[in-house]
Amino acid sequence: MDLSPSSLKNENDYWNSFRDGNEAAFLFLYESYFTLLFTWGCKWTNGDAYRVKDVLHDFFIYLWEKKANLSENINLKNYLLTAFKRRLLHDIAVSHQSATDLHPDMGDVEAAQHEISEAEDFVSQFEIIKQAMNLLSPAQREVIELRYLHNMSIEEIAERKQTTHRTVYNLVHRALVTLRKEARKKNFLLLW
Amino acid sequence: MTDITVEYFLKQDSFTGYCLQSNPDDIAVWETYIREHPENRVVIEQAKTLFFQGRYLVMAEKWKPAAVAAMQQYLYNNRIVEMPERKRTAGIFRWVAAAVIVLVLAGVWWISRQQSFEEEDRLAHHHPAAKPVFLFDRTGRQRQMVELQDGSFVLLDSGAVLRVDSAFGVMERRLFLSGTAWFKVKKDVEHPFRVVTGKYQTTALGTAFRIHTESGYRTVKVELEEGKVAVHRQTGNGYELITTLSQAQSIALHDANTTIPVRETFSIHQLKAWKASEIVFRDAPLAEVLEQLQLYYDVTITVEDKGLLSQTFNGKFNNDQLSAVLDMVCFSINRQYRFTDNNHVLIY
Repeated sequence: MDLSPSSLKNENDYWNSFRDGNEAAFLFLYESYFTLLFTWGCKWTNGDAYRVKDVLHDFFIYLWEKKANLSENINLKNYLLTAFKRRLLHDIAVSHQSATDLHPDMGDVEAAQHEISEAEDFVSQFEIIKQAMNLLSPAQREVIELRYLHNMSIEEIAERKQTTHRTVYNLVHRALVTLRKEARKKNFLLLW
Repeated sequence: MTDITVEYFLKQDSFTGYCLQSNPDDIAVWETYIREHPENRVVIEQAKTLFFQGRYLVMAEKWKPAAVAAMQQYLYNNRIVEMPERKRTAGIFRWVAAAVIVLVLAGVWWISRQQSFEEEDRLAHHHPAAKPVFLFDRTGRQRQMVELQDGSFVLLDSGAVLRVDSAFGVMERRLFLSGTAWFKVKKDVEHPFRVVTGKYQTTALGTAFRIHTESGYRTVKVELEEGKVAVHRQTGNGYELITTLSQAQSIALHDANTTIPVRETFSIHQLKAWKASEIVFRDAPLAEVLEQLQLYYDVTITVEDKGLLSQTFNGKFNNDQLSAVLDMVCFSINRQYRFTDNNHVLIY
């Protein structure tokens, strides 16, 4: 089964099954939406990844606990993105002011039109970069990870992979060209 | 330079440090560059966007399995708590009715347990790393020695609460502590070991240290027994370095103090005494008992007869000398011990 949200033909079936209390459907939705919501959360918190992960966990627990009150017919993607963003911003506000008089049930507020289009723009960007990453060869992807996730220099990667500086450099170069071309093709960089 | 592209920037080692605002030199280099080349600002912004989007996406996919396992764990815990509560509501009915209801509920409970076991099997198959322990809560309980999945040990004092991040070990080893605990960290340079206490963070590679927090993190004290640790304070979304500690140094951080905190030397002897101030074993296999004693008393213990290691041992020690503890242990397994040198014990 393809787990990416975009390919789900009837994700609302999973949603409704989850609303009936099906744990497997709930976990399936969590897993399907994790990467999209995590990336979206990082955008709003300036990359505070640990906060995003924890709030995302709490957000889904909130959904699970409120499952009986959730609507049947919703645009799932828009709902999850807007509700999660509000929850995150609420979490940041609370931790900065330690005030509790903020609106407690952020998830239930109807999303405004500008929030929806903001979320939709983000989803199309996300799909492009995800596709672009999928075009990388395993070796290219590995050097990209070491370089940009673990912040290793070309020299350090070469030492770790027991290869030459040149090989690593070429892998990084080709990976970046692939990513940039794909992004440019879809006007990703202009959208931002 | 004629061909300024997104790749050009991303290929510079220092560009990562600039994007993450983690290295002052890198930041300075690129801020100067932008001032001198305003025409390239757009391309730089595009490079930053690509950098962050790709980074978050890769990070998300690395963390996803652990996050899903944590959610499974939540559902699992929640099931156990939820059921008996429903039973309690039966108490408002008359006796006879109550008996029937309880019986019926017991049946429902059994069926749903059955289902959940089947479901667990299926999920466990889907996620092999399911059901890790994420929370150690010693509120109102005795102290406890815990082994983490990376092989590090934590001695949790009574009242301490330790949360293991669900992404522990994926990129770094992050823990959240309140109360007092001593850590003996397994060396792993690629996965820094970080203990978060409120807005302070202590980072270690391979090392042993104690952290003590008070009144909701208003006071945090770090004492280093061996190795080296760095202590950071959270500022916005980043961390600034407060100090690094060497052996036998400590630092106390108070929220109320506006002055810069200073490092002090402390008595390692007292820290060692604290570790040994209360040691409890309940039906513990000898292998575990000896492993813990090695940590408490900084010795190596060897057993001649490996067959003994599965025997269990019960005992409680308060501020006892190692020799007194070994006397008890050896007595119960009917063996002798001797020190082969200052730090080595042989049980024979």
